Amino acid sequence: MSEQVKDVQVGPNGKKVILEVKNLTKHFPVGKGRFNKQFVKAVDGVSFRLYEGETLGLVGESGCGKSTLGRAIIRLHEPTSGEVIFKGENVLAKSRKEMRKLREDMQFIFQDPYSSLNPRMNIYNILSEPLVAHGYFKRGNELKEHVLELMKKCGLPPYYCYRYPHQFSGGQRQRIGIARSLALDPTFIICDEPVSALDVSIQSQILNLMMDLQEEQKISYIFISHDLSVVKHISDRVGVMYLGSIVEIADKDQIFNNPQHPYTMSLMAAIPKPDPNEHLEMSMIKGEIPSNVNLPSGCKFHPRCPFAKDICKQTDPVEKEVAPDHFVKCHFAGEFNVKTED
Amino acid sequence: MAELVRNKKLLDVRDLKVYFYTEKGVSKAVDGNNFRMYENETLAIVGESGCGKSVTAMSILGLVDEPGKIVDGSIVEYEGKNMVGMSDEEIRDIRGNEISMIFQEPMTSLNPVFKIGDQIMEAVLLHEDVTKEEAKARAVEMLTLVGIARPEKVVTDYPHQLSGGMRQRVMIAMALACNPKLLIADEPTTALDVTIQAQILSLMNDLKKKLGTSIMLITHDLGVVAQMADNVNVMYAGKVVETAPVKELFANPKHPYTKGLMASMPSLNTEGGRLATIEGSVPNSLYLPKGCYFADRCPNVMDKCRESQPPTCKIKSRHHVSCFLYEDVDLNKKEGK
Amino acid sequence: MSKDQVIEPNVVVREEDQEVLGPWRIAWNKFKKNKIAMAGLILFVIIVFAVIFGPIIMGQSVNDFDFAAKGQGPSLSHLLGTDEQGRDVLFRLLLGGRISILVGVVSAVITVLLGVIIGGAAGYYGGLIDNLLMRFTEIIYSLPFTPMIIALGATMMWVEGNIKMIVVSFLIGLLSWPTLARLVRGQILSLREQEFMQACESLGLSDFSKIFKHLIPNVLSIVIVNATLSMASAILTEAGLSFLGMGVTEPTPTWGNLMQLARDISRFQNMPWTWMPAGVMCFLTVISINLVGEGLRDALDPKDVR
Repeated sequence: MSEQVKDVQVGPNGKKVILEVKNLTKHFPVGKGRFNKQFVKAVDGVSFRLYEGETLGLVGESGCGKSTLGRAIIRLHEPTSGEVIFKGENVLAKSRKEMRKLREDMQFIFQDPYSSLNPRMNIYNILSEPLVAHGYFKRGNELKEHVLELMKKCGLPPYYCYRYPHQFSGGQRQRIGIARSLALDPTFIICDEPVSALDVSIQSQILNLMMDLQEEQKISYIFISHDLSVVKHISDRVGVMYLGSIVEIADKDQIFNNPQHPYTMSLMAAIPKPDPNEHLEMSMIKGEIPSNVNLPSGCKFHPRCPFAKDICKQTDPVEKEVAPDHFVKCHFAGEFNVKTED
Repeated sequence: MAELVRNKKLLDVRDLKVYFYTEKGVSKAVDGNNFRMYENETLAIVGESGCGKSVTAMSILGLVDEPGKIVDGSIVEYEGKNMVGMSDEEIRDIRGNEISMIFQEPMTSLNPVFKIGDQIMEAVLLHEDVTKEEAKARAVEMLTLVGIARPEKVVTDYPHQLSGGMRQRVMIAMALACNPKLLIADEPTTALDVTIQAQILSLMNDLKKKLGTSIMLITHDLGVVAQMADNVNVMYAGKVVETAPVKELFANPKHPYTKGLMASMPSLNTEGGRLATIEGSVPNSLYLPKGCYFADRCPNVMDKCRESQPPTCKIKSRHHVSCFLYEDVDLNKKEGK
Repeated sequence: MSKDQVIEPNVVVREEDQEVLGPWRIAWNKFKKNKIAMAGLILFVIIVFAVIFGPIIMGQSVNDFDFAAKGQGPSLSHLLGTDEQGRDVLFRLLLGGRISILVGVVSAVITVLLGVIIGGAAGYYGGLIDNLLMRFTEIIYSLPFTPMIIALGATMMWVEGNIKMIVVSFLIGLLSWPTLARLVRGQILSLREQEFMQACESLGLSDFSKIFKHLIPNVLSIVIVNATLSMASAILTEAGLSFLGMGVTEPTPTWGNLMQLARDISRFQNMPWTWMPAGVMCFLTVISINLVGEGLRDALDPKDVR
């Protein structure tokens, strides 16, 4: 490896930093105009840290760039600029070959259990392929035992081995997807809405499976979802994204009990509570998400924000640390006194 | 909601069975559904994918296509006519006029090559004897009603020019244009973001109050149910397993499936960490067991559950459960019915 | 350890007993159920067997002339009669079938190779390569097929019969790949967007296995269907060319140049056994291939493999 190995950093809570993302940006060109090229600013200067063994939830509505961010981190989309440091190594400076090696340690779980498995391959081939490709096994009994072990870990009975994806339900397919991402024994997995295509009763099975695996294998997750309640169950820390930026990131308890960004608050208020006695707070948030080609001036949230003042239209707020490890991008962060619980 | 005095009956579905005759065998999508709908109420039908909730709605509108077929049962509308076996023409007269529907994916249910205004006008012109100008005025009025700013402009827009939330508003406007008695909403907010969902749900609640339209809300989201419904039917593998008023259901769920569903749903109100689960998965509708369909996943399963279909037990007035666990407390039996 | 999958004993038996079928097996089962396609397949197999083994069993050669029986109608010694040179029509018909079908196969192979390689490269690499390859494809596509092939056939008149056959196959193959190339490119573009291709990337698989294990098997169904149909049309094109005298020429027989005999009005009226069987065989072959192709199209429909 040609990279200088930096000292492994330690976060304020004494945990090791496994991944550090600095000012990551991903712009997609739109339109074919040669001169006035426009860009979709899918991810627009995102920085955060992921600690060892924790789950960082990333929430936001469609188009906020959460999936693109996940893909940019492991270079499924090549980032436009910024830095990604994984275990002290600069991911973005790796060659294709070095990247291939690094990918053993960082994996991805996809959203759509239907399109994420090759319809022409059986489960055994899907799971054994990465093991053979990276030279861990030759084809044979040892490989088969390992694959069966992997399937067992993910709650798949051994007789599923030679079946094809179309013979499974969504939940079982998602288990296969998880098993595939675990095949190379990674320490870091990005999960892109892994349960949003599943039914409630299946969703909880998959979430529990993921939590069990994390405990067993000390995996760090980035868990991308549009559903705050799912994120609340699986995450240790939560980042809220809006139009390509993280507007608030903090410990789970901080986010849910003491949200400081108006967007986080309205997102929580908008979730229908499964309790007929509690009435849906008629959402404070107005209008719809603007297009991320022509971003609003100043704070990107100001056109929808119930508390917007003049300053919000003019200057983009900087990140403030309102409590230890609780960062908010709002001019008035720390001045809100909204309690959601109790 | 009037708990004691019930409103006029709007729809009475008895013993509805809808089967799909596929190459692999007969799939029992809806297998003996019974329920009533009353004026001015919201009935939520909850269940997971494949439980037959959408097929139930489709059969009410006479939209079940080959290889599906309504094999048994009756759907009696408020005037006492049975909609099963009606001619296409009669059904078409009811559809859109007295009963209308909105779908999950607003983009695919709007025709991309026609202007929004024309699509709403078409529905009005089809069912009512009005001039084009009146129809157009109605279109603008409906768009205003569903909270679209500058409706005069939007009538000349094409569907692709609108956002997802706007399109769903347009769909609602279109569905309500003929002032139907019943609006069937099939997962109306599933494709939308939470903040937009909240807007659409509150719009639907407002419109129900304003226009007195009953709503049949098909959803998988218990949160939406709690916020919207007056009464709830819980469906599993083609059958209604529990039916109750919404507060009663959430306070006192009886069927093991309902309980499991509530426990396994992540929510902001509960602590994080492991979730309760329902083991296994929904049975294949081609190979249904002879006993209770939930038996394989049920934590309280008994021998007799695998032998025969459970009876429908009355827990309270308007709270019914199909489960062997409640045979002893069945009010129907005690009342000697 | 996850205890999520607690499976009741009766469920285990039921699930395990379920037959495990791969996607190709399912397609074959579906094909078998399609009676018309099966009839086409059986007919085609019979024709292929007949043209391969028929001439061997009859044990004649192209230059066998039976001068005693010139221009005779069907009889026991010559089942389909003889032509004006005293050659056995049945023998020439079967031998001609060999060549016609061979032309079909060779040009279909060329079409598939060029179509898959060019379309595949365009779809997989995208960008400039895609642009260049697709513009080239469009140029070939916009050449008027029939006049081109007649003109090229005519300029190749000097080539000898046996080699002419190869030349004709190449001409047809070289002019008919663009349709397939476009289809393959479109398919690969849509496959690239599928999450399982991104999964390959995130698993760090090599380009080789991405192309050969993940992309190719998923475009194969389109290619197979297209190959059968282009084989049928190649047989027809060759027959047309040879009928006009621009394709394979005497003494090598093909169905096309056998049908050419009908251009002489007296033969057309008086010796139908010399030209009619070739027309019938050509028709039967093409229709059987097309039926098989249609059957494959239904059986391999990717929408149903879910």
